[in-house]
Amino acid sequence: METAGQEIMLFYIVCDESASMGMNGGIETINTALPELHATIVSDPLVVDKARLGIIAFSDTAEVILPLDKATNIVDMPGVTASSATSFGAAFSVLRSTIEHDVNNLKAQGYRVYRPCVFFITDGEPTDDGLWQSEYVALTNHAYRPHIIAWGVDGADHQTLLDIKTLKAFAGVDRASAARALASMMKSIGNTIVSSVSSGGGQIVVPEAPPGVVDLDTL
Amino acid sequence: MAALAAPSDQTPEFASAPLASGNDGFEGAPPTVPCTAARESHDDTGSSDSGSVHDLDAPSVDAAHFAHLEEEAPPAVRRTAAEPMPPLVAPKIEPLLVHAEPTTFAQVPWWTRRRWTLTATSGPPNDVVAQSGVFGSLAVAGASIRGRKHRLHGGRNEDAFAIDARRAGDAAEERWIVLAVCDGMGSVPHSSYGSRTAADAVVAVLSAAAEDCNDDIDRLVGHLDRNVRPMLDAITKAVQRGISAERYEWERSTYLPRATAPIDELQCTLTFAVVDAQAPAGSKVPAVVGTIGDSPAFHLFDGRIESIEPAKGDAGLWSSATPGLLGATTWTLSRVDIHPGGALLLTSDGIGNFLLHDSAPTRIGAYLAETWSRPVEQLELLRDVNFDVASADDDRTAVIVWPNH
Repeated sequence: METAGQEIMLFYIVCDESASMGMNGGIETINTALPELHATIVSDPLVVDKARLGIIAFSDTAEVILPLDKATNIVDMPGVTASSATSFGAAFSVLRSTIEHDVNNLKAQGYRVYRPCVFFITDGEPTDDGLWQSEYVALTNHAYRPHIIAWGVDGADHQTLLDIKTLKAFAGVDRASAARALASMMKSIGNTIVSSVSSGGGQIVVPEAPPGVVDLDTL
Repeated sequence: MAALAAPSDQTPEFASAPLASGNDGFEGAPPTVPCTAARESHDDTGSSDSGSVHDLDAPSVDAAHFAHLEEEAPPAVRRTAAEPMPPLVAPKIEPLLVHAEPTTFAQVPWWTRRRWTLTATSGPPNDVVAQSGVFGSLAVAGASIRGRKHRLHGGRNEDAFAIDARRAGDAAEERWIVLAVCDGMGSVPHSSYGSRTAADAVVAVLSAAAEDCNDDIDRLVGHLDRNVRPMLDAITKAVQRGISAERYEWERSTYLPRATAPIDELQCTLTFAVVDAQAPAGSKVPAVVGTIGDSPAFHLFDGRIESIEPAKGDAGLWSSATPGLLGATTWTLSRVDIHPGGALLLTSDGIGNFLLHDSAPTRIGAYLAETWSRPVEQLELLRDVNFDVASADDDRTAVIVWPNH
């Protein structure tokens, strides 16, 4: 088996594309930032050889808009489109099935897969409150449960972000400048991928709060 | 070629006499010049004119000594002084590509402006550390190279190895050989210093223990088992003494930990072996292997590679969490009998993790099981250690013991 014994780190960006993200400039910011993030990770030879990136977008439903792939195989980064509601349950459900499929597929190829890392980005309260929690539990009880770093802007509730994070939760300091905070967050996500791969051993190097963003554990 | 005949029985005193009188340039020179006197002494003519330091045609003692080699040299290598020597051409040491395509890192030479190889920003990077030697009936070689992740970001090689051997009393050869591989933990700031000092301390402590158990490997194993705590304490204290010792300020400011640095900032793994260096030829060689953490050891024989400690499972997700040597209170010991045509291999996980998968050899594992079952030249060892496999970006260290070669 060509890849037997190789180690691999998986990173997923889970992106809120609800209608409010269109109104606060979040959609435009993310669509500008994703190619920049790709440029960051594709320039690092260790990331190219050892990491894979996937993107899931969610509103009232969720879909994989970038299947997990090596940075050099990604020709065009996808974009997100403002849609309707904010179903965390749909996001966690698709995330769980996607991770399960990806990890099993990679393990079948002989890869040694480190625990995946998810960057969960949202700008508001979940619209499926009371429902999303069971999907979250299913995700975080799974054998392949990922590390989760939660990023919130605009109307994202701090306690909800703290509830879903397993490593760290961040929020924009100023609700009025959601787009600027989101741009900082996207840069920080790129740097986190590079730092984590470089540090080795599959550990996630948890980022410091970037400009315009606050670490919710410090509040 | 008279001068190349049997040595003269002239004494140096006799031979030196003409030097003062027969050579203008040496008029008044000191009466004895040992090297010229020796040359004169081989002139069987006995003439004071026949062999002077200016007589470049007169064959030297060295020439006489090696004359038979010249006679036996194949004609192809004979050249007259007028013929220019051909340019030196050495075979290029090619990288060991394990898969069809080189990795991204390997596609760019280190010297390009992509700056994918930076020297360490503090202290020696230890890009390459190598050592080889014969101890009793054992051939031993070790090599350590800085990993790609440290080359890319200007970090240091955090692996270290040490080799020590002691003789019993006035014995002519070594009784035991002691080897240690330490892998500094990447998550702590001074692990390269910790692994270096720990490896040295380990072989010192274990060599002393081996000296006390001179004749019996099982006695040594029992000793290592019963005395694990005092031995580990001694190793940890030796590392602590190293950091608290008086130092120049520039040493502290560049690459040494501060004097009060907690031991956790120097943490590393340990894999060691104590091997019988006096096992009879053709017999299995007794050894004991000890581990704290995830630096794997292997037995190579008959083209196979077997993990000495049970390998980490490949079920579920992969993890690199591992216990450390410093402050540890126990180690895992394994008795091994090295096959006469085999080898004992200690590695850091930068190599060891890539040799087996689901207990079967990987492509690089199968290659090394075959290649390293016999002693190899040092440059070949370094080439092999530098194999190209995606995701193998950590520092890499291998120490190999070959019996009865």
